[in-house]
Amino acid sequence: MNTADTNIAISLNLFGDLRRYLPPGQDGPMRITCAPGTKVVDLLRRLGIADEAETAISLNGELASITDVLHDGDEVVLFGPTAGG
Amino acid sequence: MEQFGFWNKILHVDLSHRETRIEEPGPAFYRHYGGGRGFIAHFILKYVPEGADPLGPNNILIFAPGVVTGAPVPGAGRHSVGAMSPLTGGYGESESGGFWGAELKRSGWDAIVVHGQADTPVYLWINGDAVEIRDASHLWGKVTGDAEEAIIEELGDPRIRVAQIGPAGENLVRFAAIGNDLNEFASRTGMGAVMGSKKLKAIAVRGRTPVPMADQKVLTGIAKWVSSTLEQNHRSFHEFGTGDNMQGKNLQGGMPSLNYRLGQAEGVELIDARAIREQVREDMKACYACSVRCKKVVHIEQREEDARSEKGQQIAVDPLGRYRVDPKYGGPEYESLASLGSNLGIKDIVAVCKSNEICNYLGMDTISAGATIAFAMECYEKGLLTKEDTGGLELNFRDPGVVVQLLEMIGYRQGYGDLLAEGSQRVSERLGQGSENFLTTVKGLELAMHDPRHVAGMRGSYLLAPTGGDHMGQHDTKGGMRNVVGMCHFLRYDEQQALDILNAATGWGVDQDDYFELARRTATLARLVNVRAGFTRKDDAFPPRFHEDLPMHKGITDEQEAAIVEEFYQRYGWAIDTGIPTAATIRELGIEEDARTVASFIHA
Repeated sequence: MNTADTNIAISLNLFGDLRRYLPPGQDGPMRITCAPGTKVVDLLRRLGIADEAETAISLNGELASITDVLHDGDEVVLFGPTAGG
Repeated sequence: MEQFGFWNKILHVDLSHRETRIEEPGPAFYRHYGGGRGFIAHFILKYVPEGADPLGPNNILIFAPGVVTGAPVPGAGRHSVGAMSPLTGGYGESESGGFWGAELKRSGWDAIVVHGQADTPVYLWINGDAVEIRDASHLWGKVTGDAEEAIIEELGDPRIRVAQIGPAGENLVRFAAIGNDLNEFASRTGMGAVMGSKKLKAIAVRGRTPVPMADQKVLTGIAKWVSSTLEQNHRSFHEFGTGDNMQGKNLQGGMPSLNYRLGQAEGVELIDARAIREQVREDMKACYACSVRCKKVVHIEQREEDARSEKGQQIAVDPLGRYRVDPKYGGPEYESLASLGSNLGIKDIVAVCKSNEICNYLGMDTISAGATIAFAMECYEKGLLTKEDTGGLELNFRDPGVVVQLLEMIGYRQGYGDLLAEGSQRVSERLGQGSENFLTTVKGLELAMHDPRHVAGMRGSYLLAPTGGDHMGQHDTKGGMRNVVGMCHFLRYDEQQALDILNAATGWGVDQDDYFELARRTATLARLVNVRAGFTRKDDAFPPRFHEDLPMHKGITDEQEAAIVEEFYQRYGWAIDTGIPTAATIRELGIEEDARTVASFIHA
């Protein structure tokens, strides 16, 4: 079986300070393909987001944890900590 | 001796006698105190007698940029304003951005200390070396936008920068702000009321001389680094300002909601920075020398026929035809979106922008104003307050109309607004009936909009900032030092870059240890101000509200609170049982003379 056939596709958006991990000029949401069994933490590491503990994770509109497994069609939004001002 | 980052010139203005004098304290003074909090606490300890009324003639008001303020590098447009606080009764300070602080430095002054009280309204005109105390009778009563326009027209130079109070400061609202450049505010702890008590309407400044810098090349390099890495480092600030993450905070159950009770608010996505950008934002503006440009400007017209700019651009319209929001007052940042929005149950973006504009033209702190209204609304909900008390007003959460009405009433001290203008703690003292359980204050200052049950990192700031419920990390090295030297917290400088900027501005060659010592010295000075004002260890505590559980977060326990406080006392050399700086610490930091009037409180 071709691996590509089994890959899953998710939608990813980054809010707040995490926007700096978006490609320049891109405003999200992005479509990302990844291997089955990929967890949120794998996604964070792929993006290079180091401050995992301070990242709020929305998975299909619900609060999720970094150990949650992603599924095809999932909508992921990552939020950094809120700055005041 | 050549000096960099300062002029060795501090302006003292005695409004009671309408006199000015110049202090030249010498280079060691700047190295010892740094600016901001260091200057403020030093001058309070030197000039303000114990027990002085914060709104009386013996309080002083200090405008204190730091040694970095005015450097040609992003984030160097900050200045502090301080005095004894009429809101907390203790050390008062707030910081502001924009252009005014840098303009003051460029006019050849390092700080202004205002003494006494004028008998009739005045304003200061600082035109380089020339300082004039001018009549302000014709400006008294004007909102900030009108007053600035009148001053600039009168002095005939559009490049003048103005720091000023609005009607709220004139009316001694205890959380009145000092605004500069119309959309920047030193708004916490009621510094505007102190200015109002001195009948000082404004300080207009025009400077023409760049502050001498020790190493221009380093600063140019850092400025280039900021602009060339904007996408990587400051993209969110550049595109949205603050408030782009509110949905995340809400999801995590940490969004202030209905007086800090719920942690989640309905409709946060309708009032966050994204909604602002999509619906009502006209522009983003910068502070002095900064390429990040993180300040929102919103513009809303009341009527469709007015909603086209001269350039033909579409301007937002209030769909309900209620409010116009003038772009000259900027726009709401995160603290205001939460304090005037989610924490009051409001999801009406036009009303939140209007509330923010009212606070800006009347000159009031959006955090304390919103939190005081939230407190009153909970009292009303629980039956501690009735329509008979409020003069017929129904103080219901989720009602944007009543908030807009109350803000005007507070600023002008009309009707029930007169009591709310005292701040939530004094309202609670008047009401009794267990209303203290609804307070969200530390040392009398309403907490900013980061719930300490959710954001553990904020607990130390709220508990130990000398100003009270302050979110700027005043107590720690990084936050405290940026406020001392005049550097913006939003710039993503690492510790080495922050040091490089300080050294390039001053030529001091300080290292991390020196930096920490300056932070510790200035924090200890501010602590001494509070010790003398009667604050004790029991004031380094959260009110009952934050000991209660949120749906998604546990309340803070007494043990957690004590651990944070004691660790800090230990690190800073303050007595563990009292929180009073020890005699050894005072000697080590070289502040024996500053501590002279606090001597009776200090033990070996």
